Parts: sequence; C-alpha cells; structure tokens
Amino acid sequence: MRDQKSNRSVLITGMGSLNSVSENVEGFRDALYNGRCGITKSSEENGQISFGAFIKELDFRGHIDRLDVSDELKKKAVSLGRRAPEGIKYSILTSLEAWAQAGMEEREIDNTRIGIILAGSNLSLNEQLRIASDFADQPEFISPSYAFRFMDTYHIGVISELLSVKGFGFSLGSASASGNSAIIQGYNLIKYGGCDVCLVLGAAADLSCIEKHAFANLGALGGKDASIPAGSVYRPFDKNHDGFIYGQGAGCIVLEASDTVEKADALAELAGGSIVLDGNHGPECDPDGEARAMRAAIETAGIEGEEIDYINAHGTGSPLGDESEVRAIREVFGRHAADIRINSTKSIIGHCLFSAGVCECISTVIQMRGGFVHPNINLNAPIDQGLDFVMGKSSEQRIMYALSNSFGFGGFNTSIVLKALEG
Amino acid sequence: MDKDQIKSILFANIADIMDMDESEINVQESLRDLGANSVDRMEIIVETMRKIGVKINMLEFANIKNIQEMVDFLYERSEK
Repeated sequence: MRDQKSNRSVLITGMGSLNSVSENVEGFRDALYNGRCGITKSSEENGQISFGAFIKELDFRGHIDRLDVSDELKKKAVSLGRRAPEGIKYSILTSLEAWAQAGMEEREIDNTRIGIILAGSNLSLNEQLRIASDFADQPEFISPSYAFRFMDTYHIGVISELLSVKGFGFSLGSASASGNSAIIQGYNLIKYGGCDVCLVLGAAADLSCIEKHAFANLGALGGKDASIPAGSVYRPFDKNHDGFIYGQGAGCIVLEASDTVEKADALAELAGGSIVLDGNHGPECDPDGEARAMRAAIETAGIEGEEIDYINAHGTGSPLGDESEVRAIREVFGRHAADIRINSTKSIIGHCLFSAGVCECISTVIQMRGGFVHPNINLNAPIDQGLDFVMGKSSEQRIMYALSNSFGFGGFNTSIVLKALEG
Repeated sequence: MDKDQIKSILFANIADIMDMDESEINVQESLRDLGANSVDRMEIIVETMRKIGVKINMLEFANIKNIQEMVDFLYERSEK
C-alpha cells in the first residue's frame, strides 16, 4: 500500500534558523532583505587573523522561553540542552522553532510515521580537540557521557527524545552538499511512503583550528588580505573573490506529505531534487556534474528549465568554484540563463558547510514568500556580465520555481527545486 | 583538602548535573534517590574526582550507600 503513495507531493510546513545574523527565521528574513553581513574578524590563539560568520553567544534558557511551544516542551528542552555542547543547543532551538511553526504540538500525528535526518558528519571537531588536550593531561577524567556525545547521531537522539519522534532516524554526510542531500532523502522517504513527516536537521559545523588551518593551507579560505574590512571580504561571483569564509549556521525544515496537511498551511512545495557524483576524491569542481544535478532536479520536479525564476547558487566565492557553477548554469539554461535571478546566501551568512543546503533552502523559501531576492553582497564586478546576479539592494521578484545548489568536496553535486504555493 | 571542601565540590557537581539547588541535597540519600541515572552518577563521580585530584577505580564506588559515605570515602582516599 505504501508504495502507492508516489503521487503525494512534499510540502515544507515549518522552518527554524540560527546563524551569525539572526536567532530565528524572522530575523533571518530581515538580514537577507537588508543584506546585513554576519562576517567578523577574529584572532586565533596562534595570532593568525581569520574571518568567520559566527553564531553569537547564546542565552539558551532565554531563547527557549521566547519560543512558541508549550511549557512542558520548554522544560524538556532546557533539561536536554542545559549542559550539552553548543551545537546540540542550536539543533534544539531550530527544531523547536520549526516544530512550532508546523503546529505539530496541536496536531495528532502518528509519531512512528515521523523521521529525522541529520545533515552532515564530523560535527564536533572543536569539542574533540578540547577533549584531546584534557585526555593528554588526565585520561582518567574524560567525561563518561563523551562516549555517546562524540557521535554525530547524538543530535538525533536528543531531538527525537525532545519531540517524541519514533519513526526512522539517520545522519547523512556528503560534505558541503549534506544539507541538500538530507532534504532530497527526506523528499524520497515521504514521496514513497517511508514516513509522513520528516525533520531535516542541518547542524552547525564546529570546525577546530586544525581544520581551519588545513582549509587555509589548501588555499580554499578567503580573506587572504586581512586589511579588508570584515563586511566586504567575502565576494562570491565577484572578480575579486578569493575563497570561502566559514559560517556557523543551523537550520531545521519540517517536510510533510500533501495528504496529511492542508496545502494552505504550508510554506512551499519541495518539487524535486537530485544528487550526482562526478567521480573525484578531492576538492575540484566539475561543471558537467553540476549541470547533471541541476537537469535531473528539474526533471524530477516535472518542469522545464525555462520555468526556473531564481537560483540560490552554491556560490562559495572560490574562483574555480564560481566559474564552474556559472558555466554549468549557462549549459543547463542556455538563453534562459540571462533571465534567472541569481544570488549566493553565503555572501551574508558565510559558508555553513554541512548545513549550507538547509540554511539556503530556508533562505530560498523566505525570498519566495517575501516576493524579493536578496543582494549578493560585495558583488561589484561579476565574473559573468551576462547573468542576472542580484547586486546592490534587494529587489522585488515573483518566484514560482527556484533552484538551490550545493556542491561538496569528493565530487558531490546536488540541486533541489522549490515551488511557490499559489494564492 | 578538608572534608568540607570535598563535600562542597561534590554538592556543586550534583546540583549542576542534576539541575537542582544544593539545599535539596540530603546526605542520607543516594545519588539514585536524587534521580541520577547511571550516566549522571558517573559524570558526578568523575567530575568530582577531577576537581579533587584523586584517581579511584569506578568499581570501588559500587558499595557506597549514600552521599555522606561518598564524602567520607573521597576524603579517605584524597591527599591530606
């Protein structure tokens, strides 16, 4: 019976967001609309200057208090998150925001038909480094609960306990494409009857100084000229782009089957998506793989390329990456490419790595619903003059179909299609 | 470290890990009576040993009946 559900569509009914520019979806909308950048300059312990878009220090209990959920749920959240690492707190906050927006507390949904997919892998590198130095001093005193906290799937355990979710749960890694990959798996599971509701959780990457140095040594990090002000250092698609700036961002999306919720209560439709590998172990990008992902996503959505109004680009600001994506967009859309509005949300919140796809899906839905496209900030001299990048300020834009790209080291290329709901 | 200092470290850890007020802790009760599950109990003991600077095999805590006995035991095994 369940395999006959493929005519269902998949709706987004709730979103939660926390990043360097905002503590919820409403704040994110405001930052996007005004092009407010979250990047700051920070001094590392070894004196090396680095740029990043960091989540501000959190008043966890205060934040929980402001959420629109029952007191019982708030109490549970504080108990689960109080002593947990920051990354777990972020997941609790974004899940609760999304859960509240989807009205899940008021509705009776079989909790064995709700699942959780966690996007990303290696989510607690900074904490691991800290524990490693404790271990070097006194191995006897390592926190016993580290035995289950070091696993990425701890996020799933916490959120499933918090929300009493009893369907499936797993974590899914595909480098910087993890967010989109998790969204696509959620889509597939709902579409083909594996569940009715799926929480897609984009956990914030917590890189340690080791990974940051490796990215810097690889030449992948932007901000090589430390004299440039933090707000103008990150320049996706600009001739002066010089690499990515790390961002911390967490997000949660509630996906639901169209037969369990009224369309009018939904925020947007997830119309399709695609994940393709390009057979490459390293950081190199492949315009052909990127083009295949976009084409296949459009095909699963059952539409024509000409119907896409807007692309939320992967746009990391890496010179080779930006050029590759521009080539792929031109190849897929041909003459229509010039009619598509394009921006990179990374220019505002940095590159959130594993959660980027989730954060950028939320950004896309915000723009679709708000009837605008946000500026690709710091873009003065586009690498391709023929494409319609959003420059300067936000502009009004009706978006019926949007494409959101995420590509990752190791040859991952993903693309999702979002559809606005009529009326 | 004297016994009062050890007691105060243990109480602070119990209060932090169990999210309770120190005034709610009764030394005649066990950690289990206070609602601590096995992970909470291990966390409380390891964190207290770390702060006191004493290393004791966890198995040796198996026969401790209440919080007072734990304070006495930690004091006995700590460096005076």
